[in-house]
Amino acid sequence: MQRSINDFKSNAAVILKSFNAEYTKTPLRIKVIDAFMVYALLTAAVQFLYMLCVGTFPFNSFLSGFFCSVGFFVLSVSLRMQVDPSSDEFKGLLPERAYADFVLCGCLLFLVVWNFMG
Amino acid sequence: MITPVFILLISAALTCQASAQKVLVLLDDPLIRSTHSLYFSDLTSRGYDIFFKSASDRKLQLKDWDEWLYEKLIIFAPSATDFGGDIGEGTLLEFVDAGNDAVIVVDSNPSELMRSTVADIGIDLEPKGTLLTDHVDYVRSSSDGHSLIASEEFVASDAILGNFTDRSPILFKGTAASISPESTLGISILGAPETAFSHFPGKAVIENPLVANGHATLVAGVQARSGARVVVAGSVDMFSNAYFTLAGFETASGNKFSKAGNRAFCDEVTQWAFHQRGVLRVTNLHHSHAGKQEQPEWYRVTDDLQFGLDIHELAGGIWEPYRADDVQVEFVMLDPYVRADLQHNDQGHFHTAFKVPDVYGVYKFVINYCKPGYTPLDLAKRVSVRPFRHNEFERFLVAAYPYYMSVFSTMAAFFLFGFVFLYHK
Amino acid sequence: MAFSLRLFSVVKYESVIHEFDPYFNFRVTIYLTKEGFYNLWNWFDDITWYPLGRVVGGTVYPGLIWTAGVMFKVLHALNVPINVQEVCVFTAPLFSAFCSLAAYLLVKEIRGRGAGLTAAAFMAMVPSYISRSVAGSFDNEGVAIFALVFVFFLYVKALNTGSLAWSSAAALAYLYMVASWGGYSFIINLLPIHCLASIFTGRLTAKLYIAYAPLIVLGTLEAASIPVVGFNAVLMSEHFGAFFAFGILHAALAIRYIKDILPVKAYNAAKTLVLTSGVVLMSGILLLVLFYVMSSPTFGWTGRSLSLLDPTYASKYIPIIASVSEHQPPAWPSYFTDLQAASILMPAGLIALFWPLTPASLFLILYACTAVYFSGVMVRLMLVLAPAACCLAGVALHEALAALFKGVHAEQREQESRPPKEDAKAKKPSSKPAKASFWSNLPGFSETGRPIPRDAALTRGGDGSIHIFDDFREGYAWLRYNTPEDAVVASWWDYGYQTTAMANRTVLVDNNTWNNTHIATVGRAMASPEKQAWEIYRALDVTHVLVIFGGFIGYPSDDINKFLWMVRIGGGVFPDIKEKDFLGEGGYRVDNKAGKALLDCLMYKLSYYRYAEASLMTTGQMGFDRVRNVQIGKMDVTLEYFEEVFTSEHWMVRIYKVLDRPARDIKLPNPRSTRGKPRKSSLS
Repeated sequence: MQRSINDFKSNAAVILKSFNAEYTKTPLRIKVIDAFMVYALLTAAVQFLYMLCVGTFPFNSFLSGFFCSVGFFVLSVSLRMQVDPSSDEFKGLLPERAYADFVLCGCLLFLVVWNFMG
Repeated sequence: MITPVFILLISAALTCQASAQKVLVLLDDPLIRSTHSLYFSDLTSRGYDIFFKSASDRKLQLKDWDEWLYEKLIIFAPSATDFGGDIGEGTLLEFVDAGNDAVIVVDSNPSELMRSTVADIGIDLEPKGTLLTDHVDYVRSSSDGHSLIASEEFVASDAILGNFTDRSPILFKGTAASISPESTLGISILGAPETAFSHFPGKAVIENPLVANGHATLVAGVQARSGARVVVAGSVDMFSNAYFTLAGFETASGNKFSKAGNRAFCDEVTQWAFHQRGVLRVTNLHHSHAGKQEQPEWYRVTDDLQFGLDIHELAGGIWEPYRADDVQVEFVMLDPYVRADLQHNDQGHFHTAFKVPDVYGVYKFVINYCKPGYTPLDLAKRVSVRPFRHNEFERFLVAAYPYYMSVFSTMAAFFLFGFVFLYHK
Repeated sequence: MAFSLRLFSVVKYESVIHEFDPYFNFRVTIYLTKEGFYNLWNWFDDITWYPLGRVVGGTVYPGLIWTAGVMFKVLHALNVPINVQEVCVFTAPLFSAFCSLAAYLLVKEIRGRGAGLTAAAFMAMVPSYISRSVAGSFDNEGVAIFALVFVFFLYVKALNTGSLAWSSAAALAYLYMVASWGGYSFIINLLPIHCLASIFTGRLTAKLYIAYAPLIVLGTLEAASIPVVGFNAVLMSEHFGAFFAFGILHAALAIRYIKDILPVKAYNAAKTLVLTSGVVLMSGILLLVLFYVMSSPTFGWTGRSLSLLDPTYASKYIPIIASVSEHQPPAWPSYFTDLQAASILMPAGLIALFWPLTPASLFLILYACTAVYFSGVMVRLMLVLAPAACCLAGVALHEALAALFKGVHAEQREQESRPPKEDAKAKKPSSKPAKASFWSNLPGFSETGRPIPRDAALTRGGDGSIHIFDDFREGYAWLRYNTPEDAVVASWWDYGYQTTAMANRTVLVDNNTWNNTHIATVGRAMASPEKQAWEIYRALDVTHVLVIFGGFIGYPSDDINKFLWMVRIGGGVFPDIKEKDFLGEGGYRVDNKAGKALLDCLMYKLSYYRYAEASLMTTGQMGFDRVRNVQIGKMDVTLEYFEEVFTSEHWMVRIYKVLDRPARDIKLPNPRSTRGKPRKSSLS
């Protein structure tokens, strides 16, 4: 048992280390996006916990808040995949064009969220 | 929506005010006119125009095309097997269905015509030849055996008995009746003592008589839904001068009375039957938001509303404020959601206030007020109750602030992200 | 073309609205144009479902009504004075034209222009869709099918381009779809299926993510903003599939990302780690969801969806769903009559789509397969199948034509070696005859596909002339002009919408069958003896009763034929109504071997009141029913508590008045009364 946990620990340490090593290679722009993704995930998680504690009463507010964070996360992921230089799926796509699409979607998302929140 | 019955009542009540009303009296025995003269003179002094006709008069006419020639009808024709002229059982019932009042008096030998007419009004008379008999507490007299009875079983209603306040016993000799226990229109105005029963005189009683044990009805009143009132009495003698003026009598149980109450009783009951008393009128039915005046088409759930109406009672020919603490209003959608007592202000205005239930639908204000002797009130008024509008729910709840915060922070992050993304090269 | 095809109906029956539901939509549209958007949203309709009322704004799919309302406003803003009714009548044909365009775009996105054109041509003339979108059929499906195809087009477009813009456009179209029709749950289930299928067949791409994930998030929020859907968008089981696929997609993406970024050795270690923790996490979530789902009696599914998954469910538990003919499984031949050529070409198209199998064509294949299944369960969903069939047929036809022309071209090239430009020209004329042959068939298609409006039934007389029976409108007009405004009309729910729209009178139940108990009460009244029925109606303030009777002219969908459903639905709530009491020898029949309860019930009496004499004159036989082709079981029908006030020209609409309580109570039971029974003592 002890051994497997140790194994696990060392494994995790290896993974984290190599992940760290690899991740530092990603461009800064991508890192910025990642930061925002983490932020969005965190707010979503916090809201979910809050809902569990307080109850579902203003359910529409919860939904809009939660989905706002999740939506932001999803859009960021999309954007990240589009501008990621390491992938070749979106070769011809300008980052600016991708960002414009992103803004469009973001506006739509916030519009819907605002509509549903109150 | 006010029920048609109610409108009829008002019109019937209003015609009471008009000049002398015509009363048709049908007799099978012309002598009754003299033997019962006191009863008729009491009526005349109340301002009625009395027309005496023989029940078999060939020129009898109650209806001229669509117009009733008389407003009231009194029938002292227990033995009439057929009416003359245009009158038949159908005409009589039609007369009642049109909202006109009648007093029908029979004795121990009612004809089949009278029995079936009365039965169609909702009173079941005992068979021809039966007499109400009481072997325990009969009135001692020379000729009547045990069938002259003094009853004090009055209906507990001042509306019917009016000024007959001393409640002296009523002398009665005749046939008894019974009312279906399911009847909501009929009421027993004068009952019989516990010991009285209905039976063929002189015949042995071999099974328990059905009409006994205080279930016998001597004088019955019916308020038809057309507004008409009909009084059925089982004794012709009851209305006679002889009983009216009897100087004193003694019952078998030894109670002595100085007089009978017949004169006042018959007069007052006739007054009741002729809509001189116990008539209620509703006006000004009104509902509105609490503290407001105008009557809305609809309410929102959980609104506060006030409901009011004016009830007046006819007394001595004028409308006086009605006073009672037992008038209720129901707020009904399939089931009553609210049932509230109405308060009154001694001016005849009844009112209450309540909160609309939190269930939407088409509701009715229902007043269903049936008090013995009074005209039943059955009113309903529809009103819609709507759910909240989309913008009437509570907004900006405290509990939801974290969500709002997150939305704002995400939006802020979105803009921040824009700056960083575009200007960071 | 698609538009003009559907106008035949106007030519034949003037510009009226057909069927039942459209009348409600029409009425709501009038309300919208008069009162505006917000008032519609908050409209509490108090003349239907008396006395419960109906919150129309929260229970209606408003897409169609908004569409018609916007068209009306725009036309008026352009100073085109047009009636609301005209707008409503022409909405469906217009949108079927749009739908053809959408089908073209969808197939073009999948297989190119040629296939798109053929698909659009099929779309324009597939009978099953025509039947729902003829002029005058102002129903949700009319615009919803367009929305459905359009959502699919945008989704496929996003899938192909990997653009967030198309994805958000798809989300907007999805909003319109949700607003239009309950069938939106088809989309929200089809997309996850496609997504999962792509993941497991190794077609996971960033484009798939971009097309799918934002659509789910935005779409769910949008669906939740439509009042009629509301929180169901996240609470009902129908939508769980979408979230499930959403989670899987993220997990798959995460794995791929880690795989990309980590060296192989570390990846393997991470894999075990992620897998163990992932399995624990997923099973936890699954348990939670299962717990939630099991805690509700229907497992969180709505009745209609359940009857989709288990075709026998409805007939077992919810007679009201089973009672609608649209919800019955279709007969096999109906596939051919409804889809015609498309049904034959469909399998070919299906096979053609496998070469090459792109994510987009995979999508169309899945769409077709699920649609075939659903249409097998419910006739109504044939409508969902129609576009799929058309697209497949379009693909197949295009492939066939292309193969044909390839041969022709090859020959031409070999012989004359023309420049490529000429090829295109040569192609055009040669493809014309092929299409022309289809077009020549069109009137035939539309003839068979068009439904006969129910409110003006049509029949061919013996001399070949056409009689139009206008009894329905006659009856409703009578109600409108001859009853007090606060009259309450009781009828079977089929006629509720028409009564409110055409007669403007309050009804107890209508086609929005949201309250089973209330419908059961009406069914119970119809199945009760006269006196009890009268008491039920009095308690509900009913003033008039309307029945549809077809025995006089042979109109088969009348109330007597629907009556067993009334009994079943009534008996589902009130156990004192038993179906077997109403069945005679060998089943349901109205002749003298009919069940006793049937001969006594109100529906029978109201339908056949005075009928015996009337049919003697027309059929020469006392009480001969031309629908059931039998002599009725009870000729001398008398009514005590109801009074006939109106019977239309062909006896189809019969209206009765519920009588007031009598002025006097006669014949009340009185145990003390001696009337009618001799007394023993009198004999002694």
